[in-house]
Amino acid sequence: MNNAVGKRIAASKPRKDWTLLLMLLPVIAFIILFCYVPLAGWYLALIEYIPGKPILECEFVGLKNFRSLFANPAFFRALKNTLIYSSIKYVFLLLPPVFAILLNEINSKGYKRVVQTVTTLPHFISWVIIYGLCYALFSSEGPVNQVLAHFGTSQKLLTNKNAVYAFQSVLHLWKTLGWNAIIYLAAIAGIDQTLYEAAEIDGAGKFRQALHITVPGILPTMFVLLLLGIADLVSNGMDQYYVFQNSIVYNKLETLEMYTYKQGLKLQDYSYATAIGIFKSVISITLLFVTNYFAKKIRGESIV
Amino acid sequence: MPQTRNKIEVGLSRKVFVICNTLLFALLLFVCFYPLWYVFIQSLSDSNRATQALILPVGLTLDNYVQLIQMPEIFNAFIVSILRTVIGTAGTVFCCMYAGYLFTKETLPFRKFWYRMLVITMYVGGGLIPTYLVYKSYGLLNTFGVYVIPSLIGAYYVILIKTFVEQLPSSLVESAKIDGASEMRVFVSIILPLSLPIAATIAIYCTNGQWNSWFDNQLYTVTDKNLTTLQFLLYNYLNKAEKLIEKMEEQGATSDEVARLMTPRGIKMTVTMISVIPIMCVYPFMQRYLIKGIMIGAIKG
Amino acid sequence: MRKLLSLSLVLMLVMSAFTVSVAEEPTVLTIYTRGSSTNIGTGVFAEAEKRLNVKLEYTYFDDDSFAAMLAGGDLGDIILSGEDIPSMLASGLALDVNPYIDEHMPNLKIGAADAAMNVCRELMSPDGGLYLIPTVVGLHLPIVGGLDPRVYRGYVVRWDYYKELGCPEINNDDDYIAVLQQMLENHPTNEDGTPNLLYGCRSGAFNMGAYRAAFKGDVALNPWGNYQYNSNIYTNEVYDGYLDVEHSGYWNNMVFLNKIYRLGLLDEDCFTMTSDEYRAKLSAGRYMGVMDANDALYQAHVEEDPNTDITYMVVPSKNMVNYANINLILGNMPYNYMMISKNSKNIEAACSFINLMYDLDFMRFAYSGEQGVDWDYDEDGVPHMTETAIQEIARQDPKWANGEGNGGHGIRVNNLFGYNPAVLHTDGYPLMLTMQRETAIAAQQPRMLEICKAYNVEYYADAYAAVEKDFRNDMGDTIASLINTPLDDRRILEACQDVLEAGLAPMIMSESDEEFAANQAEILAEIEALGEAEVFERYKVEFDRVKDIMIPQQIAAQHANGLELYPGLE
Repeated sequence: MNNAVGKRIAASKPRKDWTLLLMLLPVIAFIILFCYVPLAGWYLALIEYIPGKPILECEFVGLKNFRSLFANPAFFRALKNTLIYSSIKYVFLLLPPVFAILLNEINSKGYKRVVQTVTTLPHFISWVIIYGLCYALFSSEGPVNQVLAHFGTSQKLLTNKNAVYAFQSVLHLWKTLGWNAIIYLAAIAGIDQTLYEAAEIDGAGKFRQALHITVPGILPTMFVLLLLGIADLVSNGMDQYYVFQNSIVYNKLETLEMYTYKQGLKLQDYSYATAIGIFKSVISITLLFVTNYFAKKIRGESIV
Repeated sequence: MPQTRNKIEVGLSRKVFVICNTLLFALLLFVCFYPLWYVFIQSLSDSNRATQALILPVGLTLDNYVQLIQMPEIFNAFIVSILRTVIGTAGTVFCCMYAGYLFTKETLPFRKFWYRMLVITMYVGGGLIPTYLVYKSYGLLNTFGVYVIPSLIGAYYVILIKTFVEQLPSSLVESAKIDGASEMRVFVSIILPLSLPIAATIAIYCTNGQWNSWFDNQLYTVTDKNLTTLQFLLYNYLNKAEKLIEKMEEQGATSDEVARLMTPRGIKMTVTMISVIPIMCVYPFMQRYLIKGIMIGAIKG
Repeated sequence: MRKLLSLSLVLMLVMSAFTVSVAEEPTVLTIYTRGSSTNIGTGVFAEAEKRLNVKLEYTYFDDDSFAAMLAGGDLGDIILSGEDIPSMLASGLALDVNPYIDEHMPNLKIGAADAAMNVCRELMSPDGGLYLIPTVVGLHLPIVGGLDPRVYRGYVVRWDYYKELGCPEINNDDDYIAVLQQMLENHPTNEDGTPNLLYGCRSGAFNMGAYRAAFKGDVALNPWGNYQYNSNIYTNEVYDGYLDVEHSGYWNNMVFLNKIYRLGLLDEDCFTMTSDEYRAKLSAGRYMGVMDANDALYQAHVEEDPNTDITYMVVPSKNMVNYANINLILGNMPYNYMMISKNSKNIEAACSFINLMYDLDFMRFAYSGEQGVDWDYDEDGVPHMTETAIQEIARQDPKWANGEGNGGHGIRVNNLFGYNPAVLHTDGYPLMLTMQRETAIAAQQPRMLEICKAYNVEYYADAYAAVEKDFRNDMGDTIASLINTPLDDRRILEACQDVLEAGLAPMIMSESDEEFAANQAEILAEIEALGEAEVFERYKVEFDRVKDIMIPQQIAAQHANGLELYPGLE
């Protein structure tokens, strides 16, 4: 039996321990001070803000920023790109736990450590450099084309409109796989070793052990991360897509963040940028709680 | 007898699996290692020809490193970065563990409410200028505090800790309580040691975050040169030049004006190496907490 | 008694040290900027620090940081910026310096400086106050040359290969392509065996668009307008570079690049190359022609052979326009202004600094060096550069070089200087004495001498002046800098820029004339759908309004400079 701490078999409602609340108070104060107070800045979306002009003196324009946002085809194009990249990333979210489980099956401790360390290396290399590397490899004079020339063909990966989504997604996976697996390795490390010993004695092979011990061991972590991942559907970051821009794949690389940068921050239009930010926040939180509701229905308990 | 037969079948398919697994990771190893090798050899190459290096350095030279290390502010920036990483990581791990553990307690009044309040913070933000003005009013601008205080509690970390602690076997806690241990005693002698993997994970994430931060430097402490961090210094070499080049090209700068701003390829790569090497030294050190083998049985005994 | 004596002695020493150090304590002037470094800390500015007893500190700010600083109101002492004008003025954080001029900035009342300040008061200020101080004003690059050996724009070729062909005339794009093709046939590979390429250019709507083609005689546009709104350099009429295909650098260059593509000679990587990869190819000299002349190839060879002819050079051409004889009422960087922050604690020191930047003697020092060492007056009162200085310049000594950390004298343009090098000192001669013809001829650098040899002239600038018209009528970027485009219009224009960027590839890679026309029609339709035409209407109204105010000033200034204007300006 593997009871989790906090799950009670007793049906009685737990008494409230108010000293705990007292202990939580500094945490709450911190969150309010550093996360909620700045939210007053959402007011910027309702005015025409010029940096430097006192906020209260700026012209109040109501929902104008939101209206021009939704009337803009470029916004929807950026949103579409963001959703496509996020969806693929979401499916790929299943890979780090698989990575962790497979890595767990390696017997040699040394090999394991090397793999653990080396697979996190891509995480530390900035996208600017990664583009430099991709260019060196995939340009018309690069080694890949030199090899392909022997076979009479060539590739143009960097300027291939049709391969953009796949290529960028694979790159992102390569950069984040090892790093994202760390939390799952931690989860596996927290599994009670005696369970494996008991299973061994009962005659279960390695595969069954993995299936019935390791997987349930990381399942709670997986659930939480998958849930949080859904809420991230409209967030995507800009660095990666910014460096891979070129005339040919331009329209497929622009994510919401890049759009915010170009139409908002570059023009110093912080009101517009804030409006986009509010849009993203609203969508994320809605997705979070909707998914949480369904998770509760399916799993019996909510995650948030 | 069926068991023995199973064992033999299992043995064969197990072997195949092990081989495939090993090969798969070998491939992954290569794909993940080569890019760093690429950066490394180009950092050792002659700056003007560095773009050509693919397998070995071109024009082997230590000039790039020498040039970077001679940057006037680099020693000070290095110290600032180390300080913020150590202090920031320690502070954040401690505070998040504290909060995370509190959230696992079902007897916490309004637990669900506070927890949701925390989770929401991951998806809302005030925006650049409001945050700046808020920090200014708290007196954090141009102080060391702005590097470590705002990140003391990270919702993501707290969530991970809570999830991890919740799935530790409750039998241990219960048996300790039956033995008469207080809340504090339980926390210190049972929960904490078992939480080492998650603490190590958070520490790794924090170290990475603190070491690589440069944006807070640019925004909040840019006028105090003593607070410059290593990453910010390096950022000026790496990304800022790219953005400036973009802007200048849009405004009609000539190739030479752009070239004056452009960081040569060799230096860019050296910058990356200098940022990566320290982290790579820390990570393996933390790894031992992540390797399976913490014997819960030992703690029981 | 002795104790008292020694105590008072110590006290006196301490006090004297204290007062001395207080007197010596320099004020720290912080300069915040949005542009790249301007060589602070080098010879010229070190002298400025000494004379004013200040310490100059210089910080560069990104877009975000600057907006945050504005919001927070901490702006240091002096701000050097161009793009934040509307914000600065609206925020009320820029100081009106009018009250300080008489006492602290008398140099702003003289000559070209006064003219420039008046323009700022009339056209850039809500209430007649002087908030923005332009820099580097006055006549720029008269025919009597400058220190700059590279004429950047025009038909650029790899000089040594071009000489082999006997310097054939290049009078239009087709000639250019034909000559480059011949050069490529003669040299299909580089010294290390890699194949050579016909033409070098790099991605971006500006690089692959307006820039090169604007300098062609049949296009004749000032490429530094706002977005693609460029004006004719003779009449200063502004055109809609998006929709007006005949008067657009972008569309003109698309035809050119498309021709190269159809010959199968376009560098495939032109869309994806990073700037350092491009630079590497330039240094290796793999291009026969490039979009703008640059130093890369020359630097790669000059150490071996100081008289090398392996470089990229612009060829004088009947169909090109020479970037010279420009009158810059608002300076060489009309988008760059100095402002003093209202919250500054060192207003008077900041004023003295700006005053020094407009001091003719100091500018003479900045551009020509120290009197007595680098230049001096002869018996007739005519200033000349000394022999040593001329030789230093001819051999490109770092003291005169234009890079970071160098001496900084004689730099053609520095964002903080008040005057352009060709402006006349009170002694009647240019601030930059190498601009006097004899001196310029004597100080010519090897690359300039190449041109002299090839075109049989005494001074390299003559080769260009002989066949090309110049920029004397043009006011394009000055006028453009005085126009405030409203935010909504700028949003539309940013979107249009995106369309042009995305359009580069299909346009350049069209396989036939029909496809070219079809792609073009599609892009034009997209731009029209964004509402660009109305934006242009509004822009043109503003442009014409400012133009009418500025034209009489331009005419007067150029006549005072002794230039006869081309027809089209009245």
